[in-house]
Amino acid sequence: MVKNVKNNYHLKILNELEKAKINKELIDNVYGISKKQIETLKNTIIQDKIPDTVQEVFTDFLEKNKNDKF
Amino acid sequence: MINFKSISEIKDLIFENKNNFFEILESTIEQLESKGKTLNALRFTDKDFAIFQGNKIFSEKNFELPLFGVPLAHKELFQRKLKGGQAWPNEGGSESRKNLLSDQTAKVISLLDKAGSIDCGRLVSVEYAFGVTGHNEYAGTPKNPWNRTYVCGGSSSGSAAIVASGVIPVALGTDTGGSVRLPAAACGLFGLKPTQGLVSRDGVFPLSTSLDTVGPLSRNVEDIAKVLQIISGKDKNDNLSVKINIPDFLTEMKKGIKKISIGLPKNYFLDGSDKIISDNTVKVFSICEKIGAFIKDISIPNIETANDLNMLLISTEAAISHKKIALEKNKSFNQQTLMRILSGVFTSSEEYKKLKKYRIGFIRNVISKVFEEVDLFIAPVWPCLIPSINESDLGANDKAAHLVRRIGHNTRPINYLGLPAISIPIGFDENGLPLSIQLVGKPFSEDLLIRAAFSLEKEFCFWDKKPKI
Repeated sequence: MVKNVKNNYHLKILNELEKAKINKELIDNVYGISKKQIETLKNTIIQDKIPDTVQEVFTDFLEKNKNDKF
Repeated sequence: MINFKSISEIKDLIFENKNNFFEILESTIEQLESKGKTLNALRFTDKDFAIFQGNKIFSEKNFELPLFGVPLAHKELFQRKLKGGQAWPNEGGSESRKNLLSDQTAKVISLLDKAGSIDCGRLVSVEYAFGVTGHNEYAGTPKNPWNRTYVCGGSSSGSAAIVASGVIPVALGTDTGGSVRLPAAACGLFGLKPTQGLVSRDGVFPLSTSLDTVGPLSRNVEDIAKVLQIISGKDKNDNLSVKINIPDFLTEMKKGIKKISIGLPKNYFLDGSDKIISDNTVKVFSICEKIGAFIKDISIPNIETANDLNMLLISTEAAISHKKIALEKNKSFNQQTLMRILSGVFTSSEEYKKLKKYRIGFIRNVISKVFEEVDLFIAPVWPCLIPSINESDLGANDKAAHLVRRIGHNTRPINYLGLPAISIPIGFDENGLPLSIQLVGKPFSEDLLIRAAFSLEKEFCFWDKKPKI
């Protein structure tokens, strides 16, 4: 079973999984995968002055390149 | 009767003799049931509904409809509500959703109905669309028509199997991490993943609300173009849907690729693929040059991060949508699907916000850098040869885990970038299974992708050969 968890949010979720009687080995695997993935996210840096949505990025890109002809 | 026929060939048969209309419909349903059973690809047909729809379309005599009388079937994630309070099943390929019914008709299905097609039923999907091999313990694992001991890829496995077996000309799938392109590639089809926001997802069973897209699979580019024309467009019921001028894909299709610049990625894609895959991908560039395109080396910044973060975003959003049922009915899930969904429950709301924010900046960086240099780029779809059903069965084979983790290597980053891509069959491997590449374009450049795919279709002539079922 997952040990030494200090993150309160993670503890809350782990309790929910245990309460749902999910297989302990699966819980261990899931927690391991999640921690690795979240670690990747932790190492990212958010840029300054970015649009709010992907759609805005695409709209800006199309506007900038509207004279491209094929 | 319509085996391996295109949309235009089917329509020609109907116009040649209007009595063919219902004969085509009935024989298609029979073929769906018989080949669907042989290939484990069919969830269900609804002959009564198909005949009812056929009668309505036939009696209205609107022969100009682009899909007049063309029988189709689609991945089981596309909901359909019927009259009189009835509805088609909406099980998402999972025992956990056994007997649940559709509560609406998917927007794209309504658009295909209005275009005159006849909806005959639904095709097997991987459970919750959350897998890349096509395995499904509950609904059955579809078999590849080219060699039935091999997978179809996932998650639009049934759609790929049925179209490649020649029963129908086109089927819709969904693509969140490769789920149109991977099965299309495994079965020798063209499979288009559109730009995020081009095609409505309203009424489609969700996996990841940021990343899900809807796209067609077909044996030829013209049918991809026809169906994409019909299903594209703004829908207020899809929060990611955008209003954009939709080009005439069929007119654009025949323009060729002279003077188009095509990128050869020097990082990530070819390195992460087996040598036979990267060697065959590189050969495609010479063919592109032969038909008038310019080839340029490109490098895509931080693309390996896109692969990992795509997985985190999918599982986080899958957990947001499906955590309740995953906990309550966990014994009714395949353990792999359960693990994938539950690995997203630990993402906090702050982390989720950061995940989405980072993605926006990442997309802006990559598209401004890459598409300043080229109009589109080529990459493999599968990083390895298509595996057998046994060797890629996580439940039965300990060695399958590493293989299965690799499969989405070339497709997931494209979903993360929100870009359009089309898989194109280019030949066969030593096991007689299809080899494919994908073209990846700028946002909303589906017209250019279709042009390039059409040019390459004529070069490779993949469908001169047919699988024997």
